[in-house]
Amino acid sequence: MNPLFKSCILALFIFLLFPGCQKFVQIGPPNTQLVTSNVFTSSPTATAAQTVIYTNMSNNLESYLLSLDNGLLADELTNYTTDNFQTAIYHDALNVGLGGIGPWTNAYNYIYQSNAIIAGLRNNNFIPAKVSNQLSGESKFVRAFWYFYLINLYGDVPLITGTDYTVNSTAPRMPKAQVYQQVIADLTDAEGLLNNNYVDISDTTITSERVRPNKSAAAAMLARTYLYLKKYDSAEAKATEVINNNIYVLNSNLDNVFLKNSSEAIWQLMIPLPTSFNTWDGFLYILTSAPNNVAISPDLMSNFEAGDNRKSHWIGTYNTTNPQTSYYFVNKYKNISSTVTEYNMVLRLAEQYLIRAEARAQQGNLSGAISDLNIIRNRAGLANTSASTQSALLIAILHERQSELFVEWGHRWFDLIRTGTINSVMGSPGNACQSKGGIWNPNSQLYPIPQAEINVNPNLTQNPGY
Amino acid sequence: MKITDRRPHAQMRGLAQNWLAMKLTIVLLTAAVFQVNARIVAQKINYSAKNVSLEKLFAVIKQQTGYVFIYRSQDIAAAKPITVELKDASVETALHESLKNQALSFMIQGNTVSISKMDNHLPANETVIPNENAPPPIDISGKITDKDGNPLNGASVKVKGTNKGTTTAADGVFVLKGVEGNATLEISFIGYETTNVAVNNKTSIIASLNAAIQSLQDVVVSKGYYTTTQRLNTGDVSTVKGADIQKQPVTDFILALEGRVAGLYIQQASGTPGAYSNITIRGQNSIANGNDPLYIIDGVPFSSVSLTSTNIGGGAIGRPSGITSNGTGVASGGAGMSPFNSLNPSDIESIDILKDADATAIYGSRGANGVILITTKKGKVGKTQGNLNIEQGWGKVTRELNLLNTQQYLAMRREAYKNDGLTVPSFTTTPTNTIYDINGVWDSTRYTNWEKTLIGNTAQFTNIHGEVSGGTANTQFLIGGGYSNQGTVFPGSYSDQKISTHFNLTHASDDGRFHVQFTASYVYDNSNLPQSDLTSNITLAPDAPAIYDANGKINWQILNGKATWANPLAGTVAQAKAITNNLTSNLGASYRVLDGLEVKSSFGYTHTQMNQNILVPATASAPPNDFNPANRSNNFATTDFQTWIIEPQVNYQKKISKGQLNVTFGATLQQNTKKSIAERTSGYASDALISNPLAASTIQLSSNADVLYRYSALFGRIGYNWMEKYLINITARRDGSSRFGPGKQFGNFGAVGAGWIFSKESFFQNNLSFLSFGKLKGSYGSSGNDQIPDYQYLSSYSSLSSTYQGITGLYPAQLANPYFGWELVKKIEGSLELGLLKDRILISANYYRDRTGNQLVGYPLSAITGFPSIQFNLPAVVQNSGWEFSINAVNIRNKNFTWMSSVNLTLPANKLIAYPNLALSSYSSAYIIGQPISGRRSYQYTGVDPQKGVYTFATKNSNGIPSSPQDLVSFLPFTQKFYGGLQNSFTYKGFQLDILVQFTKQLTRNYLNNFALPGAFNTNQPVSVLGRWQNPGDNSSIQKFSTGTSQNSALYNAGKSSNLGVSDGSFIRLKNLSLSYHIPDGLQKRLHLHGARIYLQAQNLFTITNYLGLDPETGGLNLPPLRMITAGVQLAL
Repeated sequence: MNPLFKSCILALFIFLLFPGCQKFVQIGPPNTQLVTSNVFTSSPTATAAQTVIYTNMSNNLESYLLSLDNGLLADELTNYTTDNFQTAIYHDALNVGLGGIGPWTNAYNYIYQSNAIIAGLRNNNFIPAKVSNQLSGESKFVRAFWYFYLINLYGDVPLITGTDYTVNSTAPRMPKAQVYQQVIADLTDAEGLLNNNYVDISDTTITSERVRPNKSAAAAMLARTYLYLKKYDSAEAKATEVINNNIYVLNSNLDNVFLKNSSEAIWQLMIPLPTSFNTWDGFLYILTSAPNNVAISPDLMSNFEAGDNRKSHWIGTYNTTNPQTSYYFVNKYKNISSTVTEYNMVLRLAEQYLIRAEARAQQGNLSGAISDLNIIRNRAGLANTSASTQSALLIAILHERQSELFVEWGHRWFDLIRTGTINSVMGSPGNACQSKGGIWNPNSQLYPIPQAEINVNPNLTQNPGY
Repeated sequence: MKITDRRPHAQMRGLAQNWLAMKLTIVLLTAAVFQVNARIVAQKINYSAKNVSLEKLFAVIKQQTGYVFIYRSQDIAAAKPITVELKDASVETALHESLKNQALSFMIQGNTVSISKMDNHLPANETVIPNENAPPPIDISGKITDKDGNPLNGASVKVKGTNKGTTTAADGVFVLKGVEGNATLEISFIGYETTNVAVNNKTSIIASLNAAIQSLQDVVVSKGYYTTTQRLNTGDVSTVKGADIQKQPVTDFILALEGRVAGLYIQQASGTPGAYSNITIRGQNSIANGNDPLYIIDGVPFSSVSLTSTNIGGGAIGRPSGITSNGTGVASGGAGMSPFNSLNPSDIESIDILKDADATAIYGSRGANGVILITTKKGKVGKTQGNLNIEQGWGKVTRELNLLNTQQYLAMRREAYKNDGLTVPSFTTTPTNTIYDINGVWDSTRYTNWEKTLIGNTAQFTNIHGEVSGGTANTQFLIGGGYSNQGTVFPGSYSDQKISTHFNLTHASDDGRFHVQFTASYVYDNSNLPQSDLTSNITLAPDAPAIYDANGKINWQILNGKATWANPLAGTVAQAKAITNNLTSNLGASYRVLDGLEVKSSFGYTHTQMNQNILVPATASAPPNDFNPANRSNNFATTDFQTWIIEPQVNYQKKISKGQLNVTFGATLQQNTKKSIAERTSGYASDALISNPLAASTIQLSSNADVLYRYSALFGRIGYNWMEKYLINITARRDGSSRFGPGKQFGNFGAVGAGWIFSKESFFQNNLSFLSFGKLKGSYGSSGNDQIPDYQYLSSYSSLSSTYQGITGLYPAQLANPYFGWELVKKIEGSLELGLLKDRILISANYYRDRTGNQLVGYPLSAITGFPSIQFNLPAVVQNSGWEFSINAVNIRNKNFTWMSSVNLTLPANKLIAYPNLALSSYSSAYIIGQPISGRRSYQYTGVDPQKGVYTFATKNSNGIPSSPQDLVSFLPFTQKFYGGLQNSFTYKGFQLDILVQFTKQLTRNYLNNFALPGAFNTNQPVSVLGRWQNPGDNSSIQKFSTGTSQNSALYNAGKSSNLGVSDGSFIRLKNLSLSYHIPDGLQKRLHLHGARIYLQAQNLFTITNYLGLDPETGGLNLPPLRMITAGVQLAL
């Protein structure tokens, strides 16, 4: 064969490779990922996209961090670290130099995921209506849940309800009231969409596992939101809805309140598996040595009335021998073994009684308020309340909330802010902030907007004082 | 727990890919082999013709026999036409016949026939008529060697003035029969000076050849797919020889390039062995993506990405954070292990650095940031020779940061309390207060020099390298092996150990048409480091407790059952181990189909695997947690990276008119797969068990990635030079990358380079005779950058390893933008090269300007979008321009003494030319148009308030604390004003001394950025803080001491982000000093050695700088580059 001819064949061969090259560089998605458009074509994948939010909320320690940060800011916890960040929080000396504070980034990520699910299920022909309703309901619930925390931590926040980053990336802060409207609209929608009962991964079959929000969870969140908005009649109505649902019963035994699927649980987060412990709260608050992080503050210890069983059942003691010192720790969760008997409590019935008590007291229904308050007091082994006037009752309810809901999802800090008592509790001489070694600054009621966020979004403004 | 194993599936996919690769390989190899068989044919010539030209006859002989002819066309053109009748004639006969009446002689070497004009212009027939009066011819045998006595295989021995000649065999021996006793032999060999030896009736002749002194202009320059010489190069390529790299005691060759090449900027990030360095060629082109050059080792791309798991980090060498830049370009705390740590610097023959469009456009979408071509050692013709190099060294931290002593420190703390209006709390009154340094819990009379304690040890360095090489004219081989060990300066025994092998086999067929070459290196690297770089702990209070207690155990200074400090030794109890196995291999085959036409193909395969463990025993935790199983952990990561590449190529060269045409055309298919898996395990019952994950109570998969990258291309080059005077070079590439979405995968790139060697013009030759060489050249073209993460165009969900209600979750992996495309760099360059005094002085000056547009920005988004960023092409333009100068001079060269110098100097300038809507973008608080992108906007510091003693700034806030972005009124350009190196080499008899000085003029962040507020608990300060403000009216540049009130802290932190936090970080470093002595020949012979050299080498000997801190290059509280001094011996056996 002529050598020139042969080399031409070879050259031709190289040329022929090229159309192959076009295809060669078109690769499929990685086997560790699933293309978005396929996620919402089947119920199991759509469900997996919803439940991952709960996994993330658990893995990201939301419950622990909200209770820790707000417990330190308020008067519930004593700091034992030298960590700059935590010390600043403890001293109520929040500043932008500390970096991002609070669940800002995570919350908006959960909101994005919820928005993506809501959008993915809209006009969707692949997923049955029953499944679609449950998942949309859960997404709306989650969206509302996190907006509730965002506005109570940061004040006005950008309101994002879509997934288009071109629109969202420069969204300005919305007045709190407007965000609250969205929270109420979402929770109301969710209440309509969600199952009365708890569902499993089929999204329709009923299960005893109270680990995904149902209709009552939406009602419970609504009750709390109305209370914060001082819409007491609505708060009372929603709390009543939950209280009247006979699947919820207060545990008479305080040790059982935080067990998984406890009769008091309205919504719990299960610990994602595999795990070596039960809850992050239990794992991180229970002391097995002298504290190197936090312990319960003397303020909180002294808040309990004599004979309050919550002090003996929900607070643990760690004694050091030399020198002899007792440290007190949050012991609502008790199990730190790898056998799961407890779930992280997000919403529970006791709060609903206290919401209704406060809503009733505010509306002048003192006997109704007293009756609700006493239900909680009696369960803790305390006698009926002695408060009889509206103002005394409101103080008693606030005090009861402190004893009942301590170091849970930041209740105490929010209560101090929303009732306007924060400056007197934290600020006056001899009070909480000073005993923590800090100097009270009323601007600390709102977290600073993370500086990095202001840097990338020209429409974001900072909170006063930062 | 159970981890879902996806591997079978992955294997299937891998098999399919390998099958495709194999199929291609087989096709190409078959084609090549087929060609070889076809060409080895009968060598008898049958041809008859009347009055044909010699050229035509040669063509016929060539066609029939495959012999190749070498001649000057003017010689042949002058020859008479001939008439021949050849029947089954041998080549020799045919040539005798055809040349008998011509003034031409021929010589056959292998399958090459060289035709030359006879020197004496005598008719050919006269030379063969024996002179009756002359003595009878004699038979001569002899041996040709080099200066060192090594035999030269294939040297040409020719009887001068005749066509009689032969070549030497492998042992250098030749035999010539029937030579006139008064003849002269002309002995020549490539790379050696031609020598004439008079026979003088001797029958035995031994001659040695001197190596030719090669002009730097004749140095072969590799441009990857083709080579050229420095003289004819139209592009910008710098070459560093392996010998210069091997003079430096480093385990990562990148560190040996510092200061050697204009335009190549290397910044060592840490003195810890194996640490990643930042490397850029001609500046930062990309705002957000990779600015790494493309690395090619023997034709195979080598990933510049650290294999250290981003998930578990690399301990003291840090965690790769992808594309990081904190303004200084240094990822704080290191960026994982350097990928080049798994190569042995001793295996490197040379490194070519490709910079301009002419050189890089043929690399298309990967060439934007320049190309670094690494060529490993190859076997050479000659007798088998061994080479052994043994080196031992010692490394130390040289520069110390002067910190306060205990007395000064405690005084500072007390003053801080006083300034804050507080009384110093005593332990008895406030036992919960954790200020142990001052309340009596710690022994306040103690003093520890933490620098000495934590980074004061001597690092051992051992390097042993051996090599055997040799071969015949057809086949050469090289086998090398090495071991190196570099310790650390940390307490405890930590090291980075390397065992390497290198192999090369080269073969050429007898007719010289077929070449095949195989090269492979295998390196095993075992890195064992502390979990953290202890340098960050040198700011501990000087009265902090002792690191060991009375029993020699880690001291936690227990109070109430609780540690009162974080003992830095905890970072050494916990270990970061990494074992890397790296195979790089390449097979190249070429076949010369026709004269000037060559077909070749290269097949490359690399496989790098890193297995990491971060082992944390409970003893690394403060008591009583030192027995808590939950605190015992072992984090695993395995990263596996494979590349294969096939590059078929056709080269064609032809003389056209008075010029030489070179054409190259080829294609590339490449695939990278990267698989990584990371697991966290914890809950071990005992520290002794932590190496065994089966003993863990918790095993969790923390990451699992499987990334495929494919790349294909067609490339071509046309070069033409006219009389070696006018040069033009056109290169182009069309390539596609799987990192982009459908429709955006392919891009076209190309460049034109041109050169004019004006010294060849008669005007210059006649009038400027001192000018031995002069070239003007320039290039313009484009290349691209695809250094972005894979799959960014896909909108996808990833699955989570943990389950909720029994199912694994799916979460959105990223915000997707399917429309993004290449970053395009347009490069323009002009340069002047001059050779003076017979090229003893070579000067080159370049101006370059690279503009990168279509910036692919991992555009930071507000977290309110759900994600921190999105990939997106922005019509922003970054310009890198600058001047590069280099001078190479032979100052003195005589018999015993030579002095050579080379200087390189780079004056880079980087600026952001355009950025649409910068003010509205997320970079608004970082960049300013017209300023460098490595710079940052900053606050404007305006001094210490003489009344209040705190920092003041130009601020709009009434409280004096500046806030971003409104008070970012200043700009700090963190760039190098200039950098370069100065090398001097001296040889005197057997001594050789090389001195390399590296220098950089730059602005960097200063110590302020790494220290807490002066006066705060447990943070020591440089002694310069003693000049602080004390009393109203004081004028000072240092804020008053404070325990950390929020106002003072905020002002101090603002200072870091202002021009106060920046200072001159220029330095001059004696980078390398190498002194060696060749043992005299006589002694060598007695020791039965072929060569012996003893040497002393020193790296980073000293540094001159005004920088306040440990080191201006590594910056911050990172381990500075070590001063390494080694002694060694090199033996040729």
